[in-house]
Amino acid sequence: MATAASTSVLSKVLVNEPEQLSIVVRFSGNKIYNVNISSKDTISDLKKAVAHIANVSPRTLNLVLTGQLLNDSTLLQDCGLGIHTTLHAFCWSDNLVHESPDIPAQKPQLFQETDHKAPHGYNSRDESQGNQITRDCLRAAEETSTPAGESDVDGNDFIWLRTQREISSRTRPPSCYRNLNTNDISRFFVYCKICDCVQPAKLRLSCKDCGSGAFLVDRGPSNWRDISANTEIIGTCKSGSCSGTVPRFYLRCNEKHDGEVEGTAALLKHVQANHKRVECIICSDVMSHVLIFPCSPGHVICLECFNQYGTTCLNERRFVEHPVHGYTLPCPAGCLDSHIEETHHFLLLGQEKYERYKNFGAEEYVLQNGGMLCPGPGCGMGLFPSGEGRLVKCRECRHEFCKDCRREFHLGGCENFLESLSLAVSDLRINDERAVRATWEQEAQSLIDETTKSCPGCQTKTERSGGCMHMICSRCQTEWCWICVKKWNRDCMADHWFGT
Amino acid sequence: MAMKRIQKELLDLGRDPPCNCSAGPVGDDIFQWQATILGPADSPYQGGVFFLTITFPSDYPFKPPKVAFSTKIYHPNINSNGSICLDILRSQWSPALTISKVLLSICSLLTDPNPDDPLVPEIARMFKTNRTEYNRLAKEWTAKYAE
Repeated sequence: MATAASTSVLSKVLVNEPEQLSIVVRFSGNKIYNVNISSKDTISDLKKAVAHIANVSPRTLNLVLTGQLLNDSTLLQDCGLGIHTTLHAFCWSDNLVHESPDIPAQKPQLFQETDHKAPHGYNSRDESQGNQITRDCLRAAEETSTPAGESDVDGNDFIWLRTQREISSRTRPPSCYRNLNTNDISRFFVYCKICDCVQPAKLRLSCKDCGSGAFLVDRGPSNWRDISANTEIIGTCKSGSCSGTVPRFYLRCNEKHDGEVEGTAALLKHVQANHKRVECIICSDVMSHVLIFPCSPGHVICLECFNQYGTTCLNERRFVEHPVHGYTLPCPAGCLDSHIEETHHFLLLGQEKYERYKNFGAEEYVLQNGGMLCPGPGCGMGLFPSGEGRLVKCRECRHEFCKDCRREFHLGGCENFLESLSLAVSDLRINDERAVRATWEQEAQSLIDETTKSCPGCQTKTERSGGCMHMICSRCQTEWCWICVKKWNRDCMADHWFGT
Repeated sequence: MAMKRIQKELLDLGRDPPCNCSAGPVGDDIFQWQATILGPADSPYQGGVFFLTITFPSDYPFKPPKVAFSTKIYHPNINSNGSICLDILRSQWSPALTISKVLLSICSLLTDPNPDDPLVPEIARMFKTNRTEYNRLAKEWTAKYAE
């Protein structure tokens, strides 16, 4: 008796109870049906239910998920459908049914492996594994929000612990990666500008022409190029009369956002879940989520160290202008070809620093291309003055300044002007109100003059905060001597390297 | 962050010390270290024990450590204050570098001075024009200050 009882308990545990699913089916792109069905039913059963509501023949009805047709005999529980998954339905015309009886119907597969890979096509060292993404990585998603006309490709097993996030955001300084969960095995990460943090992402596709999710692809994506705007993947749009053949892949934040518009989720292609448990190159801790530099060893940095590395380099203006990837950073180990390839990764420094990063990037572009920045208070407009004269007029703030010394425009040589300026201050005779304002500005100017020296290369006001007298301009890279304010030379090396 | 990383480096140094070098904190302050370098065998500094001070900035390893000789040494790239002319301690610093690598670089600087980027031009001139005299003086200073 005892044995029989325990067997029946065991069989209950082993055999999953059927689950009731509520599936959203978008029919021909515009009609939406909610179908309640058991997870033990097949796609064929679902088709019958949809066909009944839509009043069409189940034989002509097709269901699409992940850009692929669902097979009649597949059990719904094997499709990885969630409570509110959206499927797309369309009808073959009758002649097509006869002509194409053996259209390959592919079954989306569940995660089978524990060693999950992000699409590595961009990186030769993992090229061999790049193709895995098609079947074992892109699986049906649990759809919690159902924006119009979209087809889910990549779901994940991400469990977001909201309470954990809220606690951590209270006790820790704002950080952009606070809510990544160690159990998270997503393969795509985005910086969600709505959540203001890194989030696992869903890869989705729709028809490039009409935007419908009822789109069949010939093959799944296997690398970053495949999901880019220049994708070589083609397919067929099944939405009404649309004859589109090109899919458009895009990523969305895993979180549900009402009225989310495109462009709020920036792909972070170097960020991955650290399933290989590789140490951070800086702090040597094993962190759950890491950034992998595109150098040949694939150096790993945790997101916190990346934030600090980026912040330090930003403060010291040590970012470099890369001909292809823009204003960016290399791997801290100094590897060749290791620059961050997508500048949205600098959102990991936080949105405030990202804004500064963008400003610096624009300034760097102006300076490196022979331009200058307007010295007008609070302006900084990038200018490319033409002509031989010294007079430059800012088109933004109308400030007029001398191209050589960057002070307000003056007649005569720059050195004479500086001398006359100090004489003029002592002879100032103006009314009280103006005097106060002038003093304020004069004070600020005096403070700048007292604490800084101008780089002999680009005239940038430079403050020395320690170290030796050998200065390297963070803007124009000129090496100069703090004592003689000239380009660094043998005499400086001999006489005043350390101030004597 | 800085403290954790420094502790980690200390552990690594104990586990796998670089040859001819040792380093560790002075007293309770983990940010203040003292290091010793044994004069390399193939250099005039052979037989000497050189002491260095290491000060870690609070934002280490994103900023370089300050490293200086506290033992006097006759070397074109190390001045009388013990300041060292070494690019990885300044503009070429990377957070991926460690104290162990810095000490090894200083060891190789002792073996191979860089007279083209001298901190002490007289010693550099001597090194370039009269190697025998340079070796003699370096040995003499080593015997006088480092043994």
